[in-house]
Amino acid sequence: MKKGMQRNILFLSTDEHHFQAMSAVGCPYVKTPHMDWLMRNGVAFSKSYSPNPVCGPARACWFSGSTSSENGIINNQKKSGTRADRPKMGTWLERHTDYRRVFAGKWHAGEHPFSYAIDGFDVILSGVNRNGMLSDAAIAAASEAFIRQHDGSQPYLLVTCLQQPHDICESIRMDSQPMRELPYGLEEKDLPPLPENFDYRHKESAAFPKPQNAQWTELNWRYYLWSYYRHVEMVDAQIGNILGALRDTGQIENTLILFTSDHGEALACRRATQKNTAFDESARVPFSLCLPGEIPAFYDEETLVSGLDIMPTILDYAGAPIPPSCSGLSLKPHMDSLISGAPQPPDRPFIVTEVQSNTGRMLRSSQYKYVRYDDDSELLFDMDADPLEMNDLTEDPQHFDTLVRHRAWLREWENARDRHPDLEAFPCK
Amino acid sequence: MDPNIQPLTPDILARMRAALPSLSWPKVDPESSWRKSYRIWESVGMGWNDNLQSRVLGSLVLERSPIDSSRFKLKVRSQLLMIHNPDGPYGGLREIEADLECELDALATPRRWRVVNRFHRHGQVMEHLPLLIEGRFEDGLISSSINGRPQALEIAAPWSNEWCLFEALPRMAAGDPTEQRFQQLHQMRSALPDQRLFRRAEADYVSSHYGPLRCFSQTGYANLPIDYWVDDKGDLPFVTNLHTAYIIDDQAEAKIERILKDKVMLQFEKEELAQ
Repeated sequence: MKKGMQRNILFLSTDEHHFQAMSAVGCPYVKTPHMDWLMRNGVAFSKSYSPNPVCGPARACWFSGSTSSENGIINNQKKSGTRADRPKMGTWLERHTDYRRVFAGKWHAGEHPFSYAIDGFDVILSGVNRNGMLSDAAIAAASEAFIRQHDGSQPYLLVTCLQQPHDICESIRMDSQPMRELPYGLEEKDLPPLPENFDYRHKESAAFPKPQNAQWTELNWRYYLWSYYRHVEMVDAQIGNILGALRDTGQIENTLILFTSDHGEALACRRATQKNTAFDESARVPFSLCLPGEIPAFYDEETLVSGLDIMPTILDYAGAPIPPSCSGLSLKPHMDSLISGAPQPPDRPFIVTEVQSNTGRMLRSSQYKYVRYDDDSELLFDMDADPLEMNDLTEDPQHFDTLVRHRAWLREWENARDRHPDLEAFPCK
Repeated sequence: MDPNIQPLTPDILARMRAALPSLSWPKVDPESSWRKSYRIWESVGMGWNDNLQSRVLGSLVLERSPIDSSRFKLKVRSQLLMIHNPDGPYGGLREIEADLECELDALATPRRWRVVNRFHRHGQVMEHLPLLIEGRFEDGLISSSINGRPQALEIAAPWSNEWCLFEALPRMAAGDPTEQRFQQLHQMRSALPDQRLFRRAEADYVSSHYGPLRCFSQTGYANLPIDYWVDDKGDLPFVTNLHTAYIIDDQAEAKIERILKDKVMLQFEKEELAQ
């Protein structure tokens, strides 16, 4: 049965966005007034994780609602599309609601990064791969034009997938020479400091990120951090244009805005750049849900959230049933409970992130992070006591019971997956 | 990582075959009527030769005509190709046509403007997605509207726009180039505060292809450093910004038309390919 709902939905994403790279969460090196608005005018989730911290797999999870080991998209090279026998966000909404479904920007959900043929969506503008500097302004302008011409006769889901700060990958590639002095009149005081875990290394695993950019001096590393924040500001400016269109047209109070990123950015933690690891700098992402006037402003530091929750949440708000193939949960009941004044966060003890082309998995519980790779190496961190993940507890006798419990949870999670037929089984510890 | 990769300069663009070593451009009086056309090109820095990620992305055409001794008109046409997959095809396009009336001051401050945005899909303009920006700057205040609806803009003088800076740089280079601090109204929509435009003499060099080049740089909020390369006559043949370059090219629009017609990616300049 089709259900007509009047509330619009805007799914707004950035790309390669470190969870702390916003002034709203206390970062002094960047100014992000528009993201700050999103983080302060709804529920902002602190413990939010990418389902697979690299572009294609994360987006395949968003739009299929199923994990990488189920949908088959385990790395950026996979272009086969998610499983044909599983529902996808656009076509499912088309079948079950009257929502108009519009897409602008980066797709990459197990297919090419940009496409004018996305199942269930009307694509108004694609983009330019690896050039968010130019194409984000175009993607935001097309989104803005769509919002401004909306006449209210039909509710919409507008998906706007911006590309920045992903261009930091190009900054890194183009900065190959050791830096002895700062360019552009910059002074050291202008640059962010290195993170506390910059030099931290511990036991090696096959999948553990290797130190990168060995030729870089400390100035290179700090200039890279400075550059990253400029990329973040670029996308913030474009988010401002989209929010401005919602405000100008009076749609801001009738539009649910879901804001997140596909994955994070290493930001010099462990001498690394980019992503694709289970560490927080790579796997943890911004996440907020805004519906001004309804959802109260709240900084949620407890609830575990996954990118797998996006599809069920959007479907739930649109009034569509949630297909059983969705691995995540709708966050709408949690939002409704906050509105009613009796908070009831989702009842789940952990979430799981998959990494490294199906060779590693990370299980995040309320206090701990457990990581296992297919070479049997493991990591265990107390995230409350050790948020920079510098003290591996797998050898600590006092945490043996915790380790065993987290191993069992991950095994239980793996056994519950309807694994994609092309993927090999992941060895169980 | 290719150890030779470094920030773009005009000679690196020549080495990467994005600009012809024999490239020349007409010398014009910066305060006269002129038309300049730039090809927008990018390399994602994967390597020097046969870099499949290098490509033509679009064009920027500026036409200047004086109004009187204190103002001029600037007509802008910008095209940005959308790329569906690594090898094309190119079926999407974002086009901007702008008419600005500017002050003949250091930053070419806009006084009146009309900016039409168009989005093309499969060769057709998407008429249902209009985005028309109109505005004026009077008595220190900006009034602007989008699709006829007033828009709140928090911006104050000194301010400018990136298209206007292409006009202002040659005039600035011809005079006494003092550092400018200003706000940028990006595409006449996004206010970017805390911009700085300054001479960067340490980056000047004598190009083996293009002669003496002087560098002006812009840094600021929401911008990676932008380098403006001015020649010995005060013209602006190159602008580089991370992995993107604006290269003076009077065939830029024709190249975009050809790409859209043939749906074949254009990467390098022909003369270089023949070598």
